Amino acid sequence: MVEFNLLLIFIYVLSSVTLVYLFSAENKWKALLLTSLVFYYILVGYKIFFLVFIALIIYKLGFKIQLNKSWLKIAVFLVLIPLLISKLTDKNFHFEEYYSTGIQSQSSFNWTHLLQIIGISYFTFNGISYLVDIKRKYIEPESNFFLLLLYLIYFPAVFSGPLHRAKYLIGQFKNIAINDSTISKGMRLILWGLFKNMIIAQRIYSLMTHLLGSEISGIYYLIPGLLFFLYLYTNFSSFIDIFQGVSEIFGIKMKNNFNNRIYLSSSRQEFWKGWHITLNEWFRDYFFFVLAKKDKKRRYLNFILFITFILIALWHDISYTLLIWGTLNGLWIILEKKANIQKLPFPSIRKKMGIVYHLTVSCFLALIFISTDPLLLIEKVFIEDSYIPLNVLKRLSLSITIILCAFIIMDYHYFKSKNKRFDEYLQEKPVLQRWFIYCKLTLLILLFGLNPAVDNYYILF
Amino acid sequence: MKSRKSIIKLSIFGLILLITTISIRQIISVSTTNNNLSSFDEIINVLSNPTQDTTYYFIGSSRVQRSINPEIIKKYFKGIDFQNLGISGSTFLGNCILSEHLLKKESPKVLFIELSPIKPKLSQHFIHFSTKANLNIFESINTFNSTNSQEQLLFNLNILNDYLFSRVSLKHDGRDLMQLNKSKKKSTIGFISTDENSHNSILPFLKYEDLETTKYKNENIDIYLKYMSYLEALSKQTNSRVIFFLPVTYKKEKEKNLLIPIYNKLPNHLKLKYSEDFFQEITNSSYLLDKNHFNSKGAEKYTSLLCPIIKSHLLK
Repeated sequence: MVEFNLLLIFIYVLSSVTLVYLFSAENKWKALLLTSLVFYYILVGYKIFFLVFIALIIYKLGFKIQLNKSWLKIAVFLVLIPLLISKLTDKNFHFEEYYSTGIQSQSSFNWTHLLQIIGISYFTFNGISYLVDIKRKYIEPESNFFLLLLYLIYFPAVFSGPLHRAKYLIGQFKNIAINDSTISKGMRLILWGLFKNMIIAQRIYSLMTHLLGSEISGIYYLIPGLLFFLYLYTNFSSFIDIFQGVSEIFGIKMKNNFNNRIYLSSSRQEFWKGWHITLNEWFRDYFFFVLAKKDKKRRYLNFILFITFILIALWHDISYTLLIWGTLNGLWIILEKKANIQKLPFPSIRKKMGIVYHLTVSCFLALIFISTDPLLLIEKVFIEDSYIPLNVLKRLSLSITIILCAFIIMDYHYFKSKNKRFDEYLQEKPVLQRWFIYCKLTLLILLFGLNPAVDNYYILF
Repeated sequence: MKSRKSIIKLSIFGLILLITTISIRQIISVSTTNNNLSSFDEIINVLSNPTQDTTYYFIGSSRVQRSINPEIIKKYFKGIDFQNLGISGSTFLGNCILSEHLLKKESPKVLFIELSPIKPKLSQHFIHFSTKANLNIFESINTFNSTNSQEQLLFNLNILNDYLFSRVSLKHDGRDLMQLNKSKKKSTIGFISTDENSHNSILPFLKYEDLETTKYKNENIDIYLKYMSYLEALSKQTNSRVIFFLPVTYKKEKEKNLLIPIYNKLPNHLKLKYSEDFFQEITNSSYLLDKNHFNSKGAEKYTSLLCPIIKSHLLK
């Protein structure tokens, strides 16, 4: 597991808040730049200088593109090189790497390759979006290099997003304000994220690895698939919640990356609209639309969509497993569009059946996503006799009960909050009820939290 | 100040939590005082009052807890004291901290230390134990890691983080409360055994050929050797001895691949050597509780096979 220890996050917040207080209004963003650089350095060491160098190239290229649009292709290629090399030279399969991180070295972040730097993907995507937006004349090149550097390495966003356009984030950097409202909102999100990560996600991961380590097979093998699907949601979304909260304290609002109750989607289309929203928007705006614009008669839109899914898959990991995963995802969504399932009769039955259908297929896709050998997976699920290790489940019964109860609590709050963010949902509650929820979540974390760290699977990518 | 209200709110919230936590701990400690001594307390007693005779300790993770039955060894070597100090979730770092603590005590002893990954982490069980046994975690870590780098900073932050959380966490209290009415408590330290067998494959077992191969590499081998040579030097000061050994079952293939080069690098007097016959006898899926733990049958077999091997390491 790749983890951020809570103490590091706490010291980051505390030092940032202190510095923001000390700096004058127009210089508050410099406090955030300073802490972002220092804490990024603590995590990745000297590699940070490489990112600063790339940021400098992006800064210079911005002005070149403003003068001559034809520079864009070269610029995008240049910015992409480190990420491409990092992806092409990484021989480890993501799941294996995640599973055994911490065994290899003293530090979870001590990836040996120079270009294997946590956050390089999001750094690159933001860099490309900045350059393309200049070409599209949505923005002017940023005259202050350090402000651009902060946009590219902003500590709460650089590791797993959400991705933001430069205009959205740089605008907010100029208006940093810490007050009672921002602190309250931020703390609520952090608490919510910790509850999801330390209780639900970490326990689901432990249960899943126990099951994968057992001899579970046949139809029951879909259970680890379901667990991974739920794990990825609770793990990734909670990490985003925590850093959205951290950013909220400084008065900087980060975009939402997940729709509430996305795990209960009734179709793949609904799922992709609410899953890792900012990354999908990035691929839509800077890849899909670019190609779709050239398809004037709209004959190849499905094919372009298919290619987009392949690209998203290969960004995760350049392997044939991910190629299969991307192909199946692309085909699934195209088939759903063709079948037009949203217009089937009996909407309430369709919705309920849709949840079961989506979860079942998602379990299988989740298994492909983490499988080093898809042929072995097929053998496990379709050829081997069905077997469920009941004694393993019996031994873990307490943990399973905790997961179920915590999941019900999470789902209840999401159900009540509809599409509101957790901090806004709490804001509408009476004070006593709000404080009861704070105490309940904190005590649950103290009683049932597994590791004093927040892990995030997406840091690997 | 615009955020004065927040400071007041956070203080009130902290106070509510503090009162609740203290109350929960108070209730639990009152409920558990009437219970008999657990094996955890017995081990703490043994460590706090060492005898002048040589004691033999097995130090490691839950694998050690579930694989070495001290009673079998005591029967084999009559009159010699053997203790199983396996701690659930312990890492190599934890093993070294505990070893250092034991070696600094005057009486002679032999420590059989399980080789496992260092990991920049200490389990909550280890921290809980170290608090009760008065282990100075941070002093040990500073001794082991004298370099002052960014990695070291992160390493220390991780340990401090684990330590602080375990102090505020109510996990152990909750666990104690749930085990109140159980006649047989599951201890987080010392020998435990279960009759279950829920793994039917021999894949998790280490093979004799694995030890012979040179294909495995470990770039961090020097870090391990540094820890080991420090412990060896310390053992010589108290007429003691340290011996490292490999676990025979592995949940993660990568772990095995990383540990074998370290094991192979060690001189013979510092390691337990398993023979080919040993592997033939121990490799049996009916001995497994799960992928990397022995059940009671496996522990009995493993301990019996281990006795002749450790004979040559006894202090004269």
